[in-house]
Amino acid sequence: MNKENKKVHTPLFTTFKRFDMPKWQGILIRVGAIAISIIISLIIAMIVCQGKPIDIAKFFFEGATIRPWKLFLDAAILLGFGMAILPAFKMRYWNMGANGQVLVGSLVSIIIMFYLKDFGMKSGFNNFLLLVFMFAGSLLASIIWAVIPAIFKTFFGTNETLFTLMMNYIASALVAYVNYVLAKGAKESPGVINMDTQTGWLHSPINEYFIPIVVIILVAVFIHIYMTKTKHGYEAIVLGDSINTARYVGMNTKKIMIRTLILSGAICGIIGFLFTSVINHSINTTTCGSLGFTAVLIAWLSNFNPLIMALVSFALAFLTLGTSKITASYQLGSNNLSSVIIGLIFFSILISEFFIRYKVKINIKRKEKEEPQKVEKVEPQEIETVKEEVK
Amino acid sequence: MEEKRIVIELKNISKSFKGIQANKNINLKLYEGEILSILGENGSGKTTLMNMLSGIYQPEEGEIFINGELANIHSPKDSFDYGIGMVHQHFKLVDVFSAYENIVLGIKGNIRNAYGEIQNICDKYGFELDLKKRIHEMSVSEKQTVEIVKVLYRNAKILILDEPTAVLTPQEIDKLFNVMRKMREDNKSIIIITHKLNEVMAISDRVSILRKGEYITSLNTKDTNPKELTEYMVGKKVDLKLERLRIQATAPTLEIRGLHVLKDDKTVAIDDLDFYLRGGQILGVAGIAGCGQKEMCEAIVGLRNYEGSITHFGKSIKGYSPEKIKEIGISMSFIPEDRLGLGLAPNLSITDNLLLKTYRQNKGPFVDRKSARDYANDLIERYGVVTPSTETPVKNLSGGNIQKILVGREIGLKPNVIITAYPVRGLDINSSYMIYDILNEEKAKNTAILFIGEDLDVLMTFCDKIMVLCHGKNMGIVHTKNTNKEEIGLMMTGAKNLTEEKPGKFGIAEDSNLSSKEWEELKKEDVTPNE
Amino acid sequence: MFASFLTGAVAMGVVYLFGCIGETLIEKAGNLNLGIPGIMSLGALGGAIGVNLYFAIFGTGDIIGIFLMIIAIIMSGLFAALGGLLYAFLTVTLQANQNVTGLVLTTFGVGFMKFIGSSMDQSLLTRASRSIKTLFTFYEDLGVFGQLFFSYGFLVYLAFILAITLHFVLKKTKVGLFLRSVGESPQTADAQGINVTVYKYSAILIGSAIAGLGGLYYVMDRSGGTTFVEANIEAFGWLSVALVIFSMWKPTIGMVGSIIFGGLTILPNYLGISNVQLKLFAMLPYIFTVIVLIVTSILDAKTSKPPQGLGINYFREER
Repeated sequence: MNKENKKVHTPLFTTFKRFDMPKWQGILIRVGAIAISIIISLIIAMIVCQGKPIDIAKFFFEGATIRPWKLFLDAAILLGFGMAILPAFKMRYWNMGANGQVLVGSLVSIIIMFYLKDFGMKSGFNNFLLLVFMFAGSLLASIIWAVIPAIFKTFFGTNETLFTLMMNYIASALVAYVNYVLAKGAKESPGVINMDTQTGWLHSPINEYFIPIVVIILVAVFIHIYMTKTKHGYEAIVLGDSINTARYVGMNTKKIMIRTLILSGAICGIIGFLFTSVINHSINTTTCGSLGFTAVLIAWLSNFNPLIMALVSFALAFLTLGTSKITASYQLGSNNLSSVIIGLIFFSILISEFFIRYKVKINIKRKEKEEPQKVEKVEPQEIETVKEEVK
Repeated sequence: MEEKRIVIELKNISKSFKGIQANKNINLKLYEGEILSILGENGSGKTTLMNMLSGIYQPEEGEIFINGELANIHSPKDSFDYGIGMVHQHFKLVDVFSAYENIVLGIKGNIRNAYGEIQNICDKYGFELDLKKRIHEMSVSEKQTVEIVKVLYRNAKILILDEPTAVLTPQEIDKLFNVMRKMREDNKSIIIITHKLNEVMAISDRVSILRKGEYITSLNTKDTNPKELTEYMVGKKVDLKLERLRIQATAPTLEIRGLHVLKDDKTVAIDDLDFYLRGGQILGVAGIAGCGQKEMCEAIVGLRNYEGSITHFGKSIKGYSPEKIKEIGISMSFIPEDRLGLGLAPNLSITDNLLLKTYRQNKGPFVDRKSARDYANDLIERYGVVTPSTETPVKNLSGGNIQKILVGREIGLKPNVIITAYPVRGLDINSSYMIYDILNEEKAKNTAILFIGEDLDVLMTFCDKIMVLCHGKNMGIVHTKNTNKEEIGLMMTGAKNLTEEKPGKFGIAEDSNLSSKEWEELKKEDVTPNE
Repeated sequence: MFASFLTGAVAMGVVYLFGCIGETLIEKAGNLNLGIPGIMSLGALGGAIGVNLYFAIFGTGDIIGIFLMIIAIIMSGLFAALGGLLYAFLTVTLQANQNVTGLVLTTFGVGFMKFIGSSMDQSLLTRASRSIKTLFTFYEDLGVFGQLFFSYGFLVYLAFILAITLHFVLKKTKVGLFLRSVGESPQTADAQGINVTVYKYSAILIGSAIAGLGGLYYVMDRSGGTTFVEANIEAFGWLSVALVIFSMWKPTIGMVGSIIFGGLTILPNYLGISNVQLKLFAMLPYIFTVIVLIVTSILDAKTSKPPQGLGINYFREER
């Protein structure tokens, strides 16, 4: 073989795992990826809407900022969903069922609100009791919904990803059915419950969305402390990292898994209760939209860091409100532009992750040394690591 | 030698990972029809080097010549095309496929006649292989046979065997060596990677030595000796002699009678096993990998159901939770093949890993990381763990340091019984000795130690007694000073069974903590297995 | 009545069958693609665009069924395969987490279909649909037998042909053996000189194109060209993924399973129940799926095991 052949055989590029990227560089790459994907999305919007760039940008910012409380609420709800799945995901339990868990919680409190209307109307205290019942009902329903797949996962190893997904659709069918029943079959849905008396409605001070926002922030703080400081959180993390090790050190893995999913369910129950009592006072199959999925993506790609999750949630809420204004202004009929943009953003984050984790070397001139050897920079402990790995 | 043709020549091969050299300027020659040993400690770069011949890795610098021509090996396929076949240490086989399916995997041409051709190869070299048997139903030695046949079916002229003897019994090793000699007669060239000196002496014509990624020298086997090879291998003269601490053993600490344990797939792992441990004594366990060692360990520390009796200072510990067993002072460290799977959480920090067994001890709902961090610093210093900080994930540490943390953590619990399986697995000599020293220190404190090992030489010199397991059965317990490797080897394969030769004598302590009547009562209680 | 139910079950089941075959092929190569709902949505969108393209080329006069079919299939497969290409690029080349990538693809695909599809002319789809709903016009002469076997459109037969072909390829051919080895143990396949990347990419692209036909089939055939934007293709996608588990990664069982899943989906319509109850009974296929998941996990039979390398990315220099 001659030298010519050699070049043909060389692959175009080779990749190596990288360990030396400074933090700021990683952040810069991610932010850049998000920016690029937003620009692409707005270009798509421009083509589809056939509008002027300035108009599009105007509608976008207007839509996002015109109702700041709504913006914060949407961000908070997204964060709340993220917090609900976070403990489970730390345990490597793919809880895709946040939607369903929130839905059944909200549904049960709707039912209580509907049928105990007369009870709640009697006095202020009764109305408070009604709220307590609604809260308890929501909590219980969501916990049950979250724990059923977990029980089968712990005892039989049943695939939780699909199980929880199916639980979403079952919850959705329940919602459609109950709505029909509550509307006495006349319509598909009874609409807003107790519109006239506002029984079972929770009124916030300052702004109607104040309570949910505060509650979810408190939940986020609680989850953060729970995961990083408590024994329960520690056990869940160990279990997620190595289930064999958890068993070897004598942890009761079944108990930990179910306990953690109870917590996940409870947070969904809180959100469901907030949906019913404060935010919607009604329910339908699309109440949760694709929040559950989006939350999974946010949590995963924020590396489960609550602060980053909060920032990303805010950014996505901003985007969603902005794009819905665009689509409304151009009468596009559906607000799925936000899903497209969210998809694109996450695609670009996934791509950027690669460049953060790996180093790509392009083999155009193989004989020349493209990069100086870094041997002298490496600390001694790393040398040991490599020696062992290449054994 | 002069008239022999050079089939492979490596010139100045270098390869680095994460920017650190694994191989540096390596030069090597392989002649036609010879068996070449590549000798080096773990981590000396043997496998990396061979993986460059087999196309798994590409060299960063240097050239490979095959049959005198400059070769470019960018993939395993290129490697086959050059007639090179490698049998990896971790078999590259598809578990759910049959032997036949595995052998034809990746074959470019027509495979219609393959079955007969493979059968011919088996007949020629004397392999006994059922081609329709699925890999997951096979023994380790059968799997290795499949690997070798696979390479031969590809018409490999050059075979590379990566630590082929690590998982075999002495008898199986002999068989393998015979096959290798037959292949040499067939004018094939063979490279065998090993770190065992006796094998180098037994099988190879020449030996090349690597140390810390660098090429040291090549010698004709008949002109050298184990002592010289060791010096080349470790770089400085080391005393191969392991210390066996001689101290007065105590009364039995842990007594085990009639132990029956099942594997996950409900087949028998341990069958009617009796043995006991004394404080200040090390009982070694010899046996082929996977013949019940793991299940035995798990049963003792409460991780697996069992039948039979286990007593600790005369008190039955049956039905105790793993937590409780840990509290009464029984500790277990099992180093699996991947090192991290059992006992450590790879992505968690050193601190968090040290907490694994003690985090429940403080009151309240919170984990006490502050004192754990102090403990981590203490342990890092005491055992010389090389790490940037206490918060480094353990998976980023080298194998030796990982094992120091695991063993250190277990010993830090101040146990009176230490069960340790493969504690030096994959360690270089210095790190291994560190672990042996730690265990000897514990022995001096009258701790009872059960040592499950791989290397017979180590077991023979380091332990007081050796128990030999074969398919979960006790083949006998012997004082190391009264036995030899051949006897142990025969027992490992089940060819010799001392318990049958002298029934009733093994594993029953004369000065047992319990009378035989009390044992009987324990046996009666044993109706339902614990949780 | 029963014959019409069975026919309906087959016709509904084909949506799942396409998804199931596509996903089986992808999973056999070791990739768990949770993007199937998105890919099916893209397939539906591509099919709709294909129909529009046909009318743009051939005008809105009499429909030439075969050209319409070819263009629709090509466009549908192309869109779905582009989704698959993105997934393959991210998971195979860029080593991204398969579950997360799949979810992003689902979010994107479903959203993209609805976003673009909502501004599309539905009347053309309805027209096109009428011309492809039946392949054999003689079926009515054959009575029940004809209804059961010959009353479907071309895509139904295509689905079953593809299922049988996939079964044959996986079981009997060398390519199938090599592909399975990539899914079981990419390290082994690689060491044997099998190009893991090529096999994975091929399986993902072809599998995605096949799954995408499920979307096309739903839009053009099953739903009669009605507003596909509101169709719950996402749910069909998840059921298809569940069907793969039910089928134990065997296309032959997948064929039977698809009819069962299809039957459960349409069963409420045959029970003569009120609209209210209909809402409740809509959960039937999902409950069945849950039961399937539980039963298969309890049985845990050796033969029903997924490919061992499923869900794990392969990076050669990592050991």
